Amino acid sequence: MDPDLDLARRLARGEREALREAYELHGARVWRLCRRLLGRASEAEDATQEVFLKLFERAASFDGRARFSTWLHRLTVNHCLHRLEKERLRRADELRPGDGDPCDPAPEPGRALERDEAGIELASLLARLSPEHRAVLVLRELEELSYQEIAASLAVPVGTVMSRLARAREALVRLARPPVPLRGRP
Amino acid sequence: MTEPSPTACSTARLALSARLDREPHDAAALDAHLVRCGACRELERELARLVPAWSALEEPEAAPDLWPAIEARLPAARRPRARSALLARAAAALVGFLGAHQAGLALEREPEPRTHLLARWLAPPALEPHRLLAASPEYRLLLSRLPHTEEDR
Repeated sequence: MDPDLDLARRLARGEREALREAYELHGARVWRLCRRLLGRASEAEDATQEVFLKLFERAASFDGRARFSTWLHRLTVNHCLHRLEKERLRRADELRPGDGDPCDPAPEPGRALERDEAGIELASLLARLSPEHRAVLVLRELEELSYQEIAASLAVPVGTVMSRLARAREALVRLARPPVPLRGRP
Repeated sequence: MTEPSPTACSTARLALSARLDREPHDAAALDAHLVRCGACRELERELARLVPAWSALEEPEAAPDLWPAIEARLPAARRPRARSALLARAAAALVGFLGAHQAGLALEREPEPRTHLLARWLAPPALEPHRLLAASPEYRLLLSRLPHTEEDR
């Protein structure tokens, strides 16, 4: 039995108090997921707000086939992927050679020494992955979801989760390889 | 020794990923492939090097309180309730109104002669307050605009 079923029904009726309860129950998890998928705190704040506004707007479409928390997780992942895709398209339009990576969550100068180097490097590599690859790795490695849970969150079959994870890991490894020095012509 | 086929490497890389996640995979086939394939062995080493980096990633800071911002962005008007719930509320209000109306009349009025009572019952329905409400174009418009919901079906 889904413990959030009554909450979902009240949300579907448009009760604001139910939305507040949903935020109190699930807000921290939604925030953490947005923060990990989007990188920047300001982006995550905005995305978290939008996820709960979407939840209020779409609660009537919750059909109870998945647990409410899984459904909200899926709503969050989709929203973040949509934002990442929009950002990717915007950057493709705007990025000029020599520009920095606006998505790179590099730490502020004062904080760099406090963080483990491996973690910093991995965070910057993750930011360079495609949204799909980033999402599946974040869900597996950081959110520690099972393949079934990832499949439910991304609305894809388990087989797709397996292959997407394998490709995402290979992409991460390729990004982590040191650049091959170009040989000059004799 | 023959070079493993791209298909064999592709299968082995799926299995490598599953092994990292401790998910079911064909361990014997993977190990046999790794013995023969240098590229997949190198990938296995590189993937293993990344493992400690995941735990070195910082936990995100505690979530800020975003409820005031969410509340401020909610649409001003409440979403429409289920039509049936609204009708039930309207009916309850109407019953209350009529009850109060009748009780008021009973308290204020002297007993009416039976002919007057008969005349009131025969009066055009539109003159009755609740019928006036039901017949009003605004009330009908309101009813027609109420959305149908699952609850109505």
